[in-house]
Amino acid sequence: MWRYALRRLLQAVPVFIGTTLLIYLLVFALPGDPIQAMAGDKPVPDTVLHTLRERYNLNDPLLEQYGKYMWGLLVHGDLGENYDGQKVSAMLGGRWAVTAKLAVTAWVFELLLGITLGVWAGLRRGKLADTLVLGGTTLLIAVPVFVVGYTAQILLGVRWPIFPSAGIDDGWPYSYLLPGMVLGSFGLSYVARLTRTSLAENLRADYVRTARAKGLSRSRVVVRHGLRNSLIPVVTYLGVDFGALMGGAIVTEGIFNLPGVGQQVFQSIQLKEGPVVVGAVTLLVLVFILVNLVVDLVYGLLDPRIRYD
Amino acid sequence: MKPLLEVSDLRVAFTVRGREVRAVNGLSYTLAAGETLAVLGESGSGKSVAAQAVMGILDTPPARITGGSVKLDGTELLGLPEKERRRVRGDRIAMVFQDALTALNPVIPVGAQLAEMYRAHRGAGRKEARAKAVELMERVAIPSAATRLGDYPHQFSGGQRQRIMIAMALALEPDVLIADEPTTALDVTVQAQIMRLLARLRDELGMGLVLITHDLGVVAGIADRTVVMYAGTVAERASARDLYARPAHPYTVGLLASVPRLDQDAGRLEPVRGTPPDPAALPSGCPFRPRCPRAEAVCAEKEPPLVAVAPGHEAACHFAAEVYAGEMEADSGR
Repeated sequence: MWRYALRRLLQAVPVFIGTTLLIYLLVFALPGDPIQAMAGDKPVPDTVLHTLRERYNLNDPLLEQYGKYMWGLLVHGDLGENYDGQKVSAMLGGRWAVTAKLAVTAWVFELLLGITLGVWAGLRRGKLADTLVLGGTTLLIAVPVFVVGYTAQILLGVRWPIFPSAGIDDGWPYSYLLPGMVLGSFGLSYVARLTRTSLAENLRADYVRTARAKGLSRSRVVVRHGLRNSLIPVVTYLGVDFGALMGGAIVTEGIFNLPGVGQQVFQSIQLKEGPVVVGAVTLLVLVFILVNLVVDLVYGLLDPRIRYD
Repeated sequence: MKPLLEVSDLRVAFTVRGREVRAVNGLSYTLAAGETLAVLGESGSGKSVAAQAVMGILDTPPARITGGSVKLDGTELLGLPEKERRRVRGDRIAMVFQDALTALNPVIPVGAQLAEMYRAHRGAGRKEARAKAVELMERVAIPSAATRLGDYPHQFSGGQRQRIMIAMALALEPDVLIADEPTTALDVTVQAQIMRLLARLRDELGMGLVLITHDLGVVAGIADRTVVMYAGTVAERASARDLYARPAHPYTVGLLASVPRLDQDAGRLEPVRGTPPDPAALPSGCPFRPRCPRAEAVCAEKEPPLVAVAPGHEAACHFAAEVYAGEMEADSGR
C-alpha cells in the first residue's frame, strides 16, 4: 500500500506541473499591464515601471517567469510577493483557516445529513420519504447557490435570527453553520441521491439475501451487509467534493462576508494580482491531489477486492 | 413417522405492474430427518421462490404468500411474527445458495461472516465465535483454516467458496437444510465433491435436506424422494428410483429423454419442446398441455389432479396410468 501511495505521489508531479503551468499562463495572459493596473488612470513614470517590471521578472519570457516562480515555491517554499510588496503567503495565511473551516463544516454536513437522508429514502423506495428526498434534492441541485445563499441568509439570519447572518465574529462552528449548509447543499443532494440508489441496489444483492437467510436482524442486514458496499461511490464523491468545497466557496464567502481564500482570489483577479491567484490556486491543486490520494487509499478499506499493485 | 418439515398447498404470487403472477400454485411435500428430497424443475418453475417462502426471505411486496402452510416440527411458520421467524432462520432451517461468489458478502472476511452466526444467534463473544468459525472451516475441509479466516470470498476457489457457504448454513446445526442449486456454478468434478460433502454432513447431523435443482444427474446419487415441479405446481412425486425407472408424467418423460445416458444408445437427445409458460398467463387446464405430445381435448378443460399410479408415486396427468405403463417410451422411439 505504501508503494502504491508513493507511486501515486510521483504521478501527481506531472499533474501538479501541468495544472500550475496552465493557471500561470492563463493569469498572466490576461490583457493589460498589472503594474499599470495598480495605478489606475494615473500615468506611471517609466523608471518606476521599469524597476517594478524587473523586480517581478515581468520582462522575462513567460516560461522563464514560471520557472523562477516554481523554483522559489519548491526550493524555498516561497509563494512570492504581490506587486504591492506584500508576501502572498501572508495575504493568504489567515484566510486559509477560514476557507478550511467553511469547507470542513460543509463537508461534515454533506456527509452526515446526506448519508442519513439517502439511507432513509433508500429503505423506503417509492414511499413518501423517498419522494420527499428526491424532490428536495432536485430542488437544491437546480437552484443556483446564490439564490439558496441569500434566501437562507434572509430567512434564517435576519427574519428568524437563528444563525449569525454574516461575518466570523462568533467563531467556529457557530458563524460557519449557515454558510456551511449553503455551500454543502449541492453536495448534500448528490450524496443523498447516490446513497439512496446505491443502497437500494445493494439491498437486492444476493449477499443481502444470504444475510437475511442467516436470521440476522434487519438493522444488521442493512448496515453491515447493505450500507457498507453502498458507500463506495459515496466516498468517491465526498473525496472529490472536498477539493471542490475548498475552491468553490467564492460565492458563499461573498454572501456571508467570510474573509476566506475565495474572496481574496476574486479580488485579486479583478486587480490582476497574478502572484496571489497563482499562489492560492497552486495550493488548492495540492489539496485536491492529496485528498484524492486519501480517497483511493480508503477504497482499499471499504472494498478488499481493490488491490494496490 | 411424524414429518420434520411439512409444506402443504403453498401458494405464492407476485404483483408485477398491477398484474398478479402466480409463481407457486399449491406445492406440497414432507421431509423427514436424515432424508433428502429433490425438488426438480426448469428455470421459472417456482422451485426457488417456494424455497425462499419456506425460509421466509421473500421480499414482500412484491411477493405475497397467498395460501398454504409450512410446518416445522408441527409449528406453523407462516404468519409467525418476524422476530420469532428470524430465530428459526439460520438456526433451525438454513439455506445454501447457487453462486457463492455473489451470495457471500464480498467486503467482509469469511471468518467474520461465519462468526456472525454465533454472535447473532448465540450471543457468543468475539473469541469464541472465531474459534467456532475455524472449526466450521475445518469441518468442510478448507486447508489451513485458522490462517484463512481473514481472507475475503474472492480469494478462495469456487469450490472452496461453496464449502464456506455450506459451513455457514450448517453453523448452528439446523434441522433442515435447503440447498438451492448448490452446484450449478461449479465444475463437474467439484460438483461431485460438494454433493458428497452435503451427503456426509446430512448423515453426521441427521438433518433433512431439500435439494433444489434442474440437474437430474445430481439428484440420482443423493435423493431419496423427488418432486417434479412445473409452472408452480407438482407434476410428479415419487421415490428417486421410481422416477427414473418409470416416470408417470409426460414432462418427466421428456426431461429424462433430454439427459444423455451411458447405459442406452438413445441416438439423438430429445429436448422438451417449447418453453415454460408465462406464469402471468397460464394455459387453461393442464399447464404442460401446449408442450405435451400426449395432450388431448380433456387436458384443456380440466386441470389434472395428482393421482397415484403406485404406492408413493403420484402424477398430475389425465393419462398418468398409461404413461406409467410405458406408452410414452414407445412413442418417443426408445
